[in-house]
Amino acid sequence: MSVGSALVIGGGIAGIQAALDLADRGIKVYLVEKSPSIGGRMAQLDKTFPTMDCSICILAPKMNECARHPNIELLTWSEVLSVEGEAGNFTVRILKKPRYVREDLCTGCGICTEKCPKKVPSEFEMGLGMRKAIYMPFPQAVPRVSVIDEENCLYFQKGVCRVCEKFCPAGAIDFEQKPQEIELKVGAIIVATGLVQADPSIESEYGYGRYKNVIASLELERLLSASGPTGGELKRPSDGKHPKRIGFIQCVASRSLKENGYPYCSSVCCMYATKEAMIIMEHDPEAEIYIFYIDLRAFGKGFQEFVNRAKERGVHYIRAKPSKVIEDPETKDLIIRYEDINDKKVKEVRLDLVVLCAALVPTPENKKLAEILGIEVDEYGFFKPLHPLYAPVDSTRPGIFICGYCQGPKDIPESVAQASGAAARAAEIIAKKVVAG
Amino acid sequence: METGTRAVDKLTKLLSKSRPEHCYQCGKCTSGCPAALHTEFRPRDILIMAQLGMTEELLKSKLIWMCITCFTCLDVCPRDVEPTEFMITLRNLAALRGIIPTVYRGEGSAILETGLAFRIPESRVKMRERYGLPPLPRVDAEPVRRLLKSVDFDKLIQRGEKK
Ligand SMILES: Cc1cc2nc3c(=O)[nH]c(=O)nc-3n(C[C@H](O)[C@H](O)[C@H](O)COP(=O)(O)OP(=O)(O)OC[C@H]3O[C@@H](n4cnc5c(N)ncnc54)[C@H](O)[C@@H]3O)c2cc1C
Repeated sequence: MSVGSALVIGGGIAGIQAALDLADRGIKVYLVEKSPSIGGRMAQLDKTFPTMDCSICILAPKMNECARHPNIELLTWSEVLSVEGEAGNFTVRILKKPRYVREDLCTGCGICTEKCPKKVPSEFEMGLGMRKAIYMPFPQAVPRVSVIDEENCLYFQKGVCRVCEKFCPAGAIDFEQKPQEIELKVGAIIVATGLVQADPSIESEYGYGRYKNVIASLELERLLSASGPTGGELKRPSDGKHPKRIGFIQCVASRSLKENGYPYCSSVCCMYATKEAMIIMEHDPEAEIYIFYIDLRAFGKGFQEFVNRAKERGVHYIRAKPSKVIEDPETKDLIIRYEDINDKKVKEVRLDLVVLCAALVPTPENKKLAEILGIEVDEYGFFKPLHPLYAPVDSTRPGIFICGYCQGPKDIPESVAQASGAAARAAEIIAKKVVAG
Repeated sequence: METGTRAVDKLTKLLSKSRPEHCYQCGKCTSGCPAALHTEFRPRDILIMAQLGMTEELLKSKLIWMCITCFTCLDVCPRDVEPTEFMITLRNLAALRGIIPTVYRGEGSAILETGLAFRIPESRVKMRERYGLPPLPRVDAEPVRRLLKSVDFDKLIQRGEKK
């Protein structure tokens, strides 16, 4: 090993940035991602606040750079099994799950997906669209290699079909693939496992899961996205109509002291709700939007200006946490009841669609990963920094660094900044090792 | 029942057990409150008054008596505040100070006399007879009265009464 190598766990924007930074310094990087493609949450977003860039348009070039970079080896559909050793000299075992599609042969043409007869709800589309049992999670997926979902594949379940194999022009389908264990030597490790959305039905009074037209914010991102299940046309789930009146409820299960809630602020929801409101109004200038908030947190650079713009456009910000959402059983419209704190009146507003901005939480598997890595998590599963002020990207174990949402709530620019910080700290360890021989 | 200064101390401590300081004024309690739909009672208002140290004003306010103790606010509060308990404690404190709305005094003495909070008017008894309806069940007020007297309830509801 000439310059040493590093392991990055999690291929969201934070992991991608850390991997690119290290690779550009001449360090070999193994980027481990548990899902079939890198990209993380940012790949699911339509646009990004506060600049309103098309999310996938600015992310895809970075994803492709990871795939093409001579110093980066992508290990997708993989997970970390064990870590031994110490800073500068870790031995890591990785489990590479079988894709049943050969990465060296698949061209990503998509014929297999077209021919596959089995449809299941797509995780990437938050269950709003369908995918096949052999699939690429989204059009810009990296690597451009299909994967067979064993649990839904007719061949694996019933021993029949193999249609994909018949039609694959590259002969890439391989039903004999086995899980593979890989051993790696790395000098430093960066963890960037990101976030998941808490179950919005924790605050059951808002009807998520009971009322069709109550959806979660990530679902809305997919409904607004041109590559989403509706081709970017905002349609409400109950009848496919264009919703004209849309409400957002902020802080669902976050900033909550209830036993099943999360006391912290998820940090991005005020801004992404504002962003989603602006996108809806770009689609339909006549849309009427109500954002129910407790405190409007627009603290970042350009954030307050962004909110001001939304207000000028006519987005209604209402300082209240509604007590309930009621469904009109005939029209499936929704009625939100809240107290208007300005005049102390209890009011109701009738809406076509309600979006819940639920708490964002660290990936539940973090606890297990923390055990494997020998690092600490806090009570919510965020990785603990060595020092919150002076060592925010150092984990509690030397040689292992943390960045992005798994370290604490934050947006994309902050995740990227931390990733670069973590990459710099990791490079220090590796460089020391090289000089010391 | 303790009715002296010790009781006042105890109840004052109980006030903070309801955690009014946790409230961030989202109004979820108020819009869920059945009393708020029909009166000017606003649990959120009561809590901000508590945060501002306005306990004295609260004890004198008729608002605290409008809570129907349904506990809906407790269910919906994201901050784990117990507005209902808070209201009950405030009422007990107010009662110790002799601040009791006339209707509640009336209910209290009705219970002592008849065992029921609602005094059934003679006219209604007569009307039932006229329509041939069966008589209403009788309540034996004596055990209730004995119990309430043993805890000085009879004296409590007379406190501060303007004669
Ligand atoms: C609805 C919504 C809208 C948003 N809009 C914006 C916006 O407009 N602008 C903005 O700046 N921010 C926005 N955000 C926040 C943004 O999504 C996050 O800041 C960002 O995605 C954090 O990046 P990350 O890389 O830390 O995590 P993620 O994007 O979550 O990526 C984590 C990656 O790690 C992988 N992983 C997890 N566990 C493991 C494991 N054990 N092993 C291997 N891989 C693992 C995951 O599969 C995933 O690919 C929004 C968030 C939401 C929910």
